[in-house]
Amino acid sequence: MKTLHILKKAPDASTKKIIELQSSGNEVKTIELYKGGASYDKLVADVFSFDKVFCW
Amino acid sequence: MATEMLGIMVTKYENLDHIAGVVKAARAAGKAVTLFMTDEGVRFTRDPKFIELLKVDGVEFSCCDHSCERAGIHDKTTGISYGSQYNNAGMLHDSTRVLVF
Amino acid sequence: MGDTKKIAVIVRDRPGEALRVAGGLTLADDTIEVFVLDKKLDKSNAEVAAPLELVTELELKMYSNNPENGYTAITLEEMAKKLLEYDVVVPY
Repeated sequence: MKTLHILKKAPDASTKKIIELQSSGNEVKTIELYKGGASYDKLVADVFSFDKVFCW
Repeated sequence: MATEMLGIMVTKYENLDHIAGVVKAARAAGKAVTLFMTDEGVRFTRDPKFIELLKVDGVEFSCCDHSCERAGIHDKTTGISYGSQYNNAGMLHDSTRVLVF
Repeated sequence: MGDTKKIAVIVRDRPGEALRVAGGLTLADDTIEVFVLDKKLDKSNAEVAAPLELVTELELKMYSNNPENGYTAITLEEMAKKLLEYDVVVPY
């Protein structure tokens, strides 16, 4: 399963742990919006191509 | 194949640059876009920079009127539908993907 | 409105609004489940108590990794796995 995590701010401990736990056996990608420089075109493409999307 | 829809739920009065970037990119990619504002997010309904986004074709904007009342926002903005959590429920139900800001 | 979706609402720093939204999401006849993450809900706070009464009346399934909440116990590990079962996850 392909899972996308979009981080609007730096993740807290529980969020980090959830992402880390989901990485086991799944393809996980993290987009750190809070760091700036994101390509919104690429983000939208990812949102529709990944199976699950989380916004933290 | 039906057009894929992106639902955007806005619960905070922040991240406007990201919201605008995503809305425009989704439209450029041919996706239908629906955006619902609730909680602090309804403050965008009176934000001139956000209101510029209403000019983007193919985007439906709605907000929670109850949240507006709680935030003391009584003036309505043309182009935004003032509704309830029913709008949010419908958006999440109908969207191919949902983002929460 | 078509097929039923499974939607998870994660209650974090704004519990009252998160619970109100969870209750509202039932209006499209989707399956809504609630995860209270880490914190203990302050049930003495009216802003929390009223929407909590709503989700209780709606019989929404509630999970928490904080046993003090008294909901179905779930570890963070189990929650991470379970969240992958939902069509939409709303962290609030």
